Amino acid sequence: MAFAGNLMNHFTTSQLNKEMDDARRIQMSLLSGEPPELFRGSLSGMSLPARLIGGDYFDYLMIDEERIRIVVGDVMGKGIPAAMLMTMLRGSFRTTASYAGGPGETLRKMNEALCDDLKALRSFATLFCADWNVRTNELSFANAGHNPPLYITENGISNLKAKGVMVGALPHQSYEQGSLTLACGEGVLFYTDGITEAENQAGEQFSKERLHSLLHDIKAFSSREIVSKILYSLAQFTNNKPQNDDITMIMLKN
Amino acid sequence: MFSITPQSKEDKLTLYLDGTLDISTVPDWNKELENIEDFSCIHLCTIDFTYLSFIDSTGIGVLLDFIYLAEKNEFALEFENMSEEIHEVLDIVGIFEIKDTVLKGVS
Repeated sequence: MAFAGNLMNHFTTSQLNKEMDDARRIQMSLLSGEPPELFRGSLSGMSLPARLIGGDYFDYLMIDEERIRIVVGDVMGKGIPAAMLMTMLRGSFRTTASYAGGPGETLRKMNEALCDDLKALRSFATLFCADWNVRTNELSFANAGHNPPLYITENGISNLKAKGVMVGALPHQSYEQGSLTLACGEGVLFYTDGITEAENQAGEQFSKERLHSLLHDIKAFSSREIVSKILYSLAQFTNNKPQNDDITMIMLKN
Repeated sequence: MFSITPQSKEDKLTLYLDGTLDISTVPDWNKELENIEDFSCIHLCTIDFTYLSFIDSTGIGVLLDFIYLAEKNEFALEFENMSEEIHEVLDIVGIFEIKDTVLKGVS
């Protein structure tokens, strides 16, 4: 009987491990789509869950010949529950982005679609959505409770400011929209707080200040290089301390 | 590490938070709240953040839940003495606007 019990436990554990591996593979394939080919500028994105799977989300979608819609988000919590909700976000964004007029409307419609479910599940998500027009270089954007992306220019680094409440707490929300024109060589880093809150062995956080300073030093590189240098810098800083939170970023550069 | 020290006076309750409120300490928040069994006779609850050093999204989730608890039990809710960093995090996600909207009718 004991042997049968052990065999059953082993079978269940190996089955669970296999299913977790499958879940990770599915999530990584949903998150690692290649950015669209752009005739100007470059885009690069990545996500690194703290556990096997995570609740961060990023995506980009060409909505017409000139505009690409970008989104980055963070579901409350970590692991399997957050990952399940992340797939809801993706479905909602992919459906909504194809017909919503702009980033503000995209977030409004996503909140309408997800609010009841997230509230019932006692969860929420933060999202930042932006449209980049590759012909005019205009970036329009709206925020649903997400940490503001960083606007990187020759003169310094500043936050992309737009106010809006997280998705899943209040129905019938509207999201104010901001805009700016990206000059040649300027960029925007969209990210989740797993970067700034990554801890080293002494318990210090990577912090916004370190991220600003790093971006100042590496801003001349391509999007792909900037993402890779931020990851390298995080790895050096944390020095093998286990990752606390999911890490996600998208770098857009004109 | 996380703890709540409750202090009540008549129909007013103050919860003093201490430590970090994140995915690892949220079970402690739930456990501590279980010890405060009855919210029905409270008219004002103040959460004091003086000694709260960090909050993550799971911690924000329990604050959101607490706002809904205040709505259900019809007590007013105030947040006090939070650091600039925690205020900024809660402001970005919209927790103050949510509190004011959900508890609009509760005085």
